Amino acid sequence: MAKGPRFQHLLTSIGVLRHPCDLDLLLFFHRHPHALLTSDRLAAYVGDDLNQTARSLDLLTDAGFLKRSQNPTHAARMYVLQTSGTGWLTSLIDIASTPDGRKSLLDAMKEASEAEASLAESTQSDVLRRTRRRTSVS
Amino acid sequence: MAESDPVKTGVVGLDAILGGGIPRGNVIVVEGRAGSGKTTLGVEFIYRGATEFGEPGLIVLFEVSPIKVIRDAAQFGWDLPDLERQGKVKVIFTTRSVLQQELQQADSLLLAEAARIGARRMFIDSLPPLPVDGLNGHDGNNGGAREMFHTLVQGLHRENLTAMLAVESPGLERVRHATPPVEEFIADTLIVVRIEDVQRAASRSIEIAKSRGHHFQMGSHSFRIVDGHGLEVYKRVQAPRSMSREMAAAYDPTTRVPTGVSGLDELVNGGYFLGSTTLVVGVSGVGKSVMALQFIAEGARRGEHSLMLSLDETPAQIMRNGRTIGIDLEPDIARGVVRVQYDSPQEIEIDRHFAQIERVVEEFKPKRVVIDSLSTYGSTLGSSKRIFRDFFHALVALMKEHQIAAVYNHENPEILGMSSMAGEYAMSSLVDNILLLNWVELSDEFRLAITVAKMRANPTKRVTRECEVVDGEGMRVLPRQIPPAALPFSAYYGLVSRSPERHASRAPVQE
Repeated sequence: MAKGPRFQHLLTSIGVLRHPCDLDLLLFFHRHPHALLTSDRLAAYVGDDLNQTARSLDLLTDAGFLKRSQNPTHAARMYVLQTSGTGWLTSLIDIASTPDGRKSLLDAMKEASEAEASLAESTQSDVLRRTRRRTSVS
Repeated sequence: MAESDPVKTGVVGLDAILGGGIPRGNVIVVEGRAGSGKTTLGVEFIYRGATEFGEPGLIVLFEVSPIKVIRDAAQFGWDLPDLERQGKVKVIFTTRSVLQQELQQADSLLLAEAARIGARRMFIDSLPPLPVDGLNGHDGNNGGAREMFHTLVQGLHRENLTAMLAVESPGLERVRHATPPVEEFIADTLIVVRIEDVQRAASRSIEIAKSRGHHFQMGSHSFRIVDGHGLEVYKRVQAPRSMSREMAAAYDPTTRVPTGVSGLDELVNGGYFLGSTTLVVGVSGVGKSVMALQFIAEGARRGEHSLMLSLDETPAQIMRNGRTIGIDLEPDIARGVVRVQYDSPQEIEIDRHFAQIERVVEEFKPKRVVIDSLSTYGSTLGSSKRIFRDFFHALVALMKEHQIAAVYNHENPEILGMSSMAGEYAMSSLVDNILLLNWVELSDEFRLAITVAKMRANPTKRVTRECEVVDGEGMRVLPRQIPPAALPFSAYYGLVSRSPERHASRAPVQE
């Protein structure tokens, strides 16, 4: 796909988006920059399961894209999109605003995720191989 | 406190109807069906509060995404993101159940956000229609909906926020005064916004159905949603204005305003009184607009502010007509003595139209006004003669309050003679002077006749005189004795009764 490298570059600069739910949540918070919601309502809005939504929320929060209130006595939390210095969000939204763009973005995210997994796997194999060699030499 | 410190909405025309504003802390319910303007009213309430009255505000949305509300607000020139950056406005998306829980909690996240920006106002968009007392709501849970509304209102009272709640009303108008729904009991102020079909057009109206703690103007007022501005509310034309307008009359019985028509002043004792109402009645093409132009031109010649309000012809047409009778109004318009205002009679909204006339009268302060013509209002306002009469009554009171000599043209459908002075609208009692312009068929020609049928507080001869419209000169009333090329009117009787007959042996009257 011709657009692939462009999306890869965008995703590389964003750095963290790997799952469709990550993207959907980011787009949701773009439309609702201050949202006071329960996580099950959020999961329903983005159309994903509660566990994945929770993982994606953690990911976006850890990456600094999202700020959320920490009050265990409240069922709902206040989510505030942190947009300062994130001009890439506009590009991302432009691309994701069409079905083709969104599909391409998701494909690129999948590729990035698979490449990352395979890299992790090969790194792990190398480590195992080196460990075995060291053991046999000794 | 409430009386002296009302919350102003900032919406053009609305605070006047609300008697200056809404008592602080009132819970305001805005009820209306989809597309009736609830969200625009609520967002403007918050925007004006933040920008004009130093009162930050919170917008709480349940269904519409904030990005759309922000986009729509931008069409009115309201920059909500900038106000968010300044900490004057916050737009929060949540659900109804979360809002209900939040308002029950002492450490509410929502109210903490409100406190952070020092919010004094809140707009909640929107709640579903609450069930009519004793009946179940959509979810079959009357008690739940009632409880939720109570909780909401108590929470808002506790925080001393002046809150506006949009409530969806069903597609069909509820039958009022039967069993009002719950929110109507609990709300302090109930505003109903409507959009109605009027002869294939749509008309918006706003009604303050209830408001605790202050006086307000009842009834249904018109409003518009104006691009680049927001809401504009126009007080219904029938609503009482100031006491000075109610009591206004032509109270200067000495100052006369000359008509500008040669020979006519003689018939009206030197001119119309200041503050008087004159009706010029006649069939189409008889010369009413010519007389009107001469009245305006005479005012301009005397340096008096003169205003022509036309529904029949555009300013360009009026200018052209003027030039054919030797009147060029353009220099007078340029130097600010004359104003010509045109409003298209198509889909006229009478409250808005009257508000525009009020505005121009108050700004321009004319001494003379011509309205051309009343009959166009009559046909535009449709079958409701009551609305026409109320409008005319309001117009007369406005002109009298400002001591304006006002001339109203009125087209009478009868080509020959007249069987009534003002046709079907029964407005004769409201006017001071009535001039009848009438065709008289003598031999093989139509000749123009003028009769002063009524002049309040004036001696009137009620003679019928001939007049003519001369190219390049305009209208003039001929002397009673005219050269003998044609027999003068005085040689006839029955001129206005459609059957003029010549006196058998009577010589023309000498003056």
